[in-house]
Amino acid sequence: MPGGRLVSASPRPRRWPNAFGLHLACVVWILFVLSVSLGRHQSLADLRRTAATGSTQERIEALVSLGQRAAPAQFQQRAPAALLNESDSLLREFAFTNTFSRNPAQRLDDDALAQIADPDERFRASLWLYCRMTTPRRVTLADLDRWFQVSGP
Amino acid sequence: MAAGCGVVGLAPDMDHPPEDSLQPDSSPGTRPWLLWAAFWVAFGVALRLALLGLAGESELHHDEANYIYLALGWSHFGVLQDAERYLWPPLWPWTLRQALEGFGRHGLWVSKLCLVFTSASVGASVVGLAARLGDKRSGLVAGALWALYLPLAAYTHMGWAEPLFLVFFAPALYLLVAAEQDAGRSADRKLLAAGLCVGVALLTKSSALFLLPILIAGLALSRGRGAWREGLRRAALLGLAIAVPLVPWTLRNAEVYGRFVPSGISLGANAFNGLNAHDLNFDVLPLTRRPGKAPTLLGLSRPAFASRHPDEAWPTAAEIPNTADRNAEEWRRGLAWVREHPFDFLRTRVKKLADFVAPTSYFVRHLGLRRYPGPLGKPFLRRVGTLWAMAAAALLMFLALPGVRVAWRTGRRGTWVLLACAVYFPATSLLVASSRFRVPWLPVLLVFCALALGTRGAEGRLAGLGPGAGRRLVLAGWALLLGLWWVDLPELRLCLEAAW
Repeated sequence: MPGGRLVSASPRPRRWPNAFGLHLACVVWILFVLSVSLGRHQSLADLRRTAATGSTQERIEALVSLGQRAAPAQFQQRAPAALLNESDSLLREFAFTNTFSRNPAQRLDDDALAQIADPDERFRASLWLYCRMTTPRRVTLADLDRWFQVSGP
Repeated sequence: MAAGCGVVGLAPDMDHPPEDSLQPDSSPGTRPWLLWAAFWVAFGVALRLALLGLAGESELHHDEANYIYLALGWSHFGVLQDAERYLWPPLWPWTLRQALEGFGRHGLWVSKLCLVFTSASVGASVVGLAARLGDKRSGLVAGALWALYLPLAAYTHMGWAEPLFLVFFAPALYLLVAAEQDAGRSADRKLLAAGLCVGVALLTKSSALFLLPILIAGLALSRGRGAWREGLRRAALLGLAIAVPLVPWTLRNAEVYGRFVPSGISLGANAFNGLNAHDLNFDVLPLTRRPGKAPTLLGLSRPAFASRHPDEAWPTAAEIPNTADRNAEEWRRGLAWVREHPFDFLRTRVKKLADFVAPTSYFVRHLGLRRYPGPLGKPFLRRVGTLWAMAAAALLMFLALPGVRVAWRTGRRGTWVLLACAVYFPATSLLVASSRFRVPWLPVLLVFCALALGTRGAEGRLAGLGPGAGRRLVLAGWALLLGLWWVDLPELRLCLEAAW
């Protein structure tokens, strides 16, 4: 068209994000989360295998990793009972020491709670008892007062 | 009655209102209207703030204590644990954790303060919903009702997850209705926001989980046959947006429990409470356990609707350590009980429904248990609060019924969203019921009640009570409601006596 300007047929360009963009953004996010989860899943499988079949030192490290960061609730549900019955006392003590308690000699039942001298340690042990659904009573405001007095936020 | 409300595409468009005496004005709010709406929301927040101050710091009750434990455990061990027999969604424990880590012992109070201020989103959503489905006057009535509805206001100074759930769920309902009424890019953005809000709400409480397929299917069908592709596109956007916040949590649960759990795990534990030979009404149970104060729950309830052999209740599957597996096993036991005792199941469902609509609340229960150390627990305020809360709950349910009729007759697009919620939440009570399970239902009731009070017919009377089709249904609904209140009358009397 000599001497003239091409005029677009559409009234105005479509602004981002349009409906397709919104769908796409959601799908990309979901795929991203799935890929991260798959990576974690693989790493967890390795840890579990090591915790079951490795040498004592490797099992200790794997269990501590599982307990501290990888699959805490699974550790909570399965590992502690296994650890309490673990014949390898070194393994049991090391895992407890590094994971939930700095006092591995203590059995974490209600009677033992009263014998833990360090208030911060007692607090952690009490929480741990609760987490294992064996706590005899629920937290009260007085507990909160005491715990925050002794251990800080 | 104008047929349909959007689900099957028969609802009249905004541009073509039904030929009815109801011609509500839903044009965008003018400045004075917005100021009045803001006033009621601010008033509601101020009332909740006053209640927080007047309540004092009440002792932690059952689930409140469990939430605190979860928060503390998460803070000290970096782990979100199960809560006894449940897996609760993470958002409320996470909020408590942040508050306790940031403010120490005062974190409890700070978290309640957050609930008070964020509750404004519920008030604003209720105003917007009533204005969209009715008119501006209905919107303001809804704002006033939300502000003054004491049973809901009181939850902001308690430690349950419900108020935080509503902070996201109520805006989600508003955005869904707005997306139904709007078109183009604006509607898409609202759908995206609605989906995100629903997803985050499900990270707070799982009670709305089975509402999702209803909402998604309703959205797909709401455009009618002529625009099914548009309906599917919108439904897909809503579903994807809901998945955005839920997918990380679901994958975490798959990692931990070996099952895909999108929100929480409570079905099995609720089956233990609700599909069993015992009867647990948590509005009344703590009152019956006060030493020497009241009869047992079994002796209190009307025998025709109460459990008769609580000693034959099936036990929890405590021997299964994995919460998800235990949940599945308890659900199986609950269904087995239903198959073996079909008559008991049906009989006790009446009681469940009665517990759900009983005009009491956890606020009244707290008053009855003398849980408020502040001025709210003194005799005068306690009695005023009890009467206010019980009357408000009764009136809200009573007036919501003609409001449903008004909404149906007005026939605004998107009405189906609220109707779906109005049916869904009572249906959940057939498993386990107490007034607390009514909380997600309350925004819907407030909107319907506002439509009943705020909309007038041609002759100036309340439109929901005027002559015409549907009046008999309203009368039948009232009769049913009164019947259910009669079923729960012994328990209600105990609540009133205890709080008095």
